[in-house]
Amino acid sequence: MTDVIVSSTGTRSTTKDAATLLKQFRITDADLDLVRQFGDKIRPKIDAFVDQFYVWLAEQPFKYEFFMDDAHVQEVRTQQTKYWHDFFDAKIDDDFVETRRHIGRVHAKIELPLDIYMAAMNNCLENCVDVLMADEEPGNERQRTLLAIAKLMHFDEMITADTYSQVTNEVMLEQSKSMIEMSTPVTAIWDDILMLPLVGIIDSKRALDITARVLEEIGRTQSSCFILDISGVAIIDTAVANYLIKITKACRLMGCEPLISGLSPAIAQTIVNLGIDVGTIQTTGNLREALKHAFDHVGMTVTEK
Amino acid sequence: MTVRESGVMQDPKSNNPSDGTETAFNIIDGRLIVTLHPKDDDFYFDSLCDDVSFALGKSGCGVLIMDATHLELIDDWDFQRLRRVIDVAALMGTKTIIAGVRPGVAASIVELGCDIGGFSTALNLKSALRFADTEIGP
Amino acid sequence: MPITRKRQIIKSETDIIVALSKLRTMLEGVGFGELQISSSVTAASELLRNIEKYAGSGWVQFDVMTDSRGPYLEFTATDHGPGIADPEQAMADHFSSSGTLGLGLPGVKRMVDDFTLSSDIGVGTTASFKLWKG
Ligand SMILES: Nc1ncnc2c1ncn2[C@@H]1O[C@H](COP(=O)(O)OP(=O)(O)OP(=O)(O)O)[C@@H](O)[C@H]1O
Ligand SMILES: [Mg+2]
Repeated sequence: MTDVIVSSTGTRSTTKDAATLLKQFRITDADLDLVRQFGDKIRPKIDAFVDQFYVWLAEQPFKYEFFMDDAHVQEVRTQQTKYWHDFFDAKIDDDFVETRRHIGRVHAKIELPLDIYMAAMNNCLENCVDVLMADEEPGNERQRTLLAIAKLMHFDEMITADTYSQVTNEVMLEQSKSMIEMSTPVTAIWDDILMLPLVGIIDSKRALDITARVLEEIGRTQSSCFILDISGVAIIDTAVANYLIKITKACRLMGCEPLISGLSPAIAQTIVNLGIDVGTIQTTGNLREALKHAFDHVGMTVTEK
Repeated sequence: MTVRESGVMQDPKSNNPSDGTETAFNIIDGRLIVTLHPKDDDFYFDSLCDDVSFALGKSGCGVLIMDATHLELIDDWDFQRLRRVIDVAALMGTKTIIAGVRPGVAASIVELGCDIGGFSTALNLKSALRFADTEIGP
Repeated sequence: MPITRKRQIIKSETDIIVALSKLRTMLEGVGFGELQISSSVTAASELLRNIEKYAGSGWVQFDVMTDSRGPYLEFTATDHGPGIADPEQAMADHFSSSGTLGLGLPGVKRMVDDFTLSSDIGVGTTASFKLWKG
């Protein structure tokens, strides 16, 4: 397909200009004329339509209410009214496309779910049909107008939704990238001593990955001591603590002594408050202490020259 | 440390201890060494407890080393059998060391939430013997 | 008077991570100490992970407010999941219906100032807490 560009990030993105997009959606000048003509009839009613949308929104499960933060409702309403005026002006040029892309970006930024946006579009389509039905025009003409409106709406939705998903994907990609970058390899810092400095946020997927890598490395190097430094870990909650306990247990089973270093005073207090029993796991406040333990464990002493 | 072959004990179940399909029992420096095999039948872990306790009783070894190097998989049931061996050995005054547990096996045992108390571990047979010498004594 | 306010839908582990980092940034911004931040973020993490684990999805809201005792965090996590049959049991140390540590809820209670848990079977669960800066 030539109209879809797959960017290096793997996200679909429409980067075509207005003319290409119009052609792709088979929107003709005649269609735009029909929308404009219809616009003259519907424009006075737009305010009422927007009001109606908010009534609908209020009836939705309460979790949606927060998208309409009191302070912003007025602002969003103004934007929405402008959106529909722009729509029925039907001046589709690159500026129009850019405005729609901007809307997609804003929706993504405030995390407005697409279903709300689509429902709002649907609401408007219904309203248009109601107005059309009450019209004096002959049936054929009305159908052509309806088709033109529907085409333009799909065109509009496509740009907004596409931008939306593009932004969301970028955010996700950014997040997973920083997660991957955070994973530091398990390294043998001395004969018999392995170390892994953990940085960032530990989620279930990462925990599994870390456990597998640590155990593989113990098997491969036959190290008798493993230091897990957690000073760079953002949160130690029960789930993370559980992962840490599991890693250390599995280490022990393999015959390798685990040491956890880098427990800051705040983290140590949090772990105690949570009520987590670290059992017999050797923990230290800093890496230095852990190293001392490790050397001791492998039967070495560090002396000054 | 000296690792010395002090005689191969007759396998209670087989006349040919080295055929690789039956549990191999060896005694090195007064430690009873059992090489665990991937189970090829359901009776393997079941009979293990009998075989090991019998061998312990006969040899009077104070240390039991189970070499798990060849075990690639373990399930809840298998581990319960192993636990029984460890518990029976403990009652007979024998300390158990499990050596050479593979990464996947270690991870499964932890995931299964098994009780992993009451035995020591070592990276491999060699360190198990060294551990027995330094931490447990003759 | 609210200083800041954040609200967010929780439907995946990523959402939790995003919410927690927003929370941390917010608390750092108003000068909470390391222990308060650690306690708040950990407590938040427990409640949000429970939502993800037991209810599938829900939402979270947190504000920093100020009263006579100074600035404090007000945190609420809500879901429309199955609810908790026996909240008292759920608050007990080591109770877990999923075989994990079972320290989340009781841990949160120990770490924060005012913890409330209300739950109705088939309706959902709301957990909230406050934590003062001073
Ligand atoms: N939002 C919720 N919806 C339904 N049930 C819940 C919810 N939160 C907690 N529970 C129930 O309460 C129990 C106790 O929760 P708690 O967070 O203390 O422990 P856990 O989640 O089981 O384990 P941990 O948090 O230590 O990993 C849970 O096992 C679950 O049955
Ligand atoms: Mg929990």
